[in-house]
Amino acid sequence: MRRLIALPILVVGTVLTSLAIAAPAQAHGYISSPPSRQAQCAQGIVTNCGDIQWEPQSVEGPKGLRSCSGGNARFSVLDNDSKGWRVTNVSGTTTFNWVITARHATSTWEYYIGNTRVAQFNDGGRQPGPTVTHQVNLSGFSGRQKLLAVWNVADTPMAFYVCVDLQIGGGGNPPPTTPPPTNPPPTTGPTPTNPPQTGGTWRAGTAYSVGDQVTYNGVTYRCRQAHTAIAGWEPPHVAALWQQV
Amino acid sequence: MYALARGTAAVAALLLLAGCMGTAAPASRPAAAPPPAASAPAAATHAPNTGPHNAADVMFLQMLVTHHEQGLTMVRLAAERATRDEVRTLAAAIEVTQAAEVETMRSWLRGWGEATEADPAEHLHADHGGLPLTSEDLIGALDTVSGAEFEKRFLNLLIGHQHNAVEMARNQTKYGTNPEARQLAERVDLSRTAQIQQMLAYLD
Repeated sequence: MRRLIALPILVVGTVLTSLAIAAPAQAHGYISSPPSRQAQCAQGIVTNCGDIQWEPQSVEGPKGLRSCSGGNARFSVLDNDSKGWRVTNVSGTTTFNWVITARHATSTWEYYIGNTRVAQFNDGGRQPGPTVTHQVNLSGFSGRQKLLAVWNVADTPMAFYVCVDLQIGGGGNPPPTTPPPTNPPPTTGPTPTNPPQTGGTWRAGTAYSVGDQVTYNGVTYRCRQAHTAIAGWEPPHVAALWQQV
Repeated sequence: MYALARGTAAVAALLLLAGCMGTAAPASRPAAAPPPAASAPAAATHAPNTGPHNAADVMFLQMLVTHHEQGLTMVRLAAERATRDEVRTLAAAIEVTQAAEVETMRSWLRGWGEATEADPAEHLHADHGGLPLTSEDLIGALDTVSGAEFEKRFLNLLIGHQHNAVEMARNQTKYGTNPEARQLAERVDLSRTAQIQQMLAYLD
């Protein structure tokens, strides 16, 4: 009988400890558009970014920093101003859209250019909605600027850091630097451009229509659902997309 | 010292996972999402998964089933309401592939005598980054908008959602033992990462 009492105590103690040990790099959020530095790494339009490519949402650091990496050594690429970041043309009031992967109670969202805080949104400790969008007036600025956005979490000492490279003003009301191609360059999956091809005509990045035929590992498949091929969607693994002929 | 620390972490992780499993209560969950059978054209063959498995495998599958159901809710809306062909095409492809994965995962869990989904309301999951949003949150965010605004919200929501799937998959490759569940996790990691790349491009 004594054991029955001892065990739950052990379990509780261990579980509490494990929250620190086992919790993965907790996911949170970043600015998706205009494309932030970490979004450009995740999208693969800036390469050789290191870990940030896989977890653009994780740039967490103590409150009060003014760095793109939030002081994380493994994300230090984000602090490199000469990395070839894509610059987005904006003017006047600009909309910033966030991807949120965990809805932390929030004190404020701050936007800085240099040491000037250009905007602050006070959430008063509330949990943000599933999507977060801010309108920021940048009309006092011009030329190429690095904007730093800070998401201050209410119930921890931490914040999330995001940098966005902007070209402000200069030319009326320009559309974003790179208007969306009607058919964006096919993505190639997280592995280098061509995932290991094991023989066959199937290629990640190709847009397939219903009825298209490919070979993969010596087997022929017919496409049953239009899609752009990606790593992880190889024909033998996704019967919903490919039917063996 | 290293081995000891690792062992402790593994035990702790398993106990944490066990805590999650204790919360699985499918009976109490309203059948919010329609069964995916209608949209899964491929009658996937559900070969029994008889390999060894541990608590991490069970939790991964239960959480991913629930997570996928939420994703299906979103992509079904997008298949009707997105304005660009490429967004609708991606949504439709995600719908059929995730619906098929749900069927496979449920069949494995049934074969193991386990509940076939996790309880999305449990805070415990949110605490380790698993299930931060409810279907009601997602539908609420998408229900009142159309056109370009719908697409923008949909893409931002689904990007975040797939980031969460990648995290679950990476946990599974750390803690799971079942070979087929680990292979599934690898494909989830790869395919969702690639989907995120596509969707970020659509937001530009």
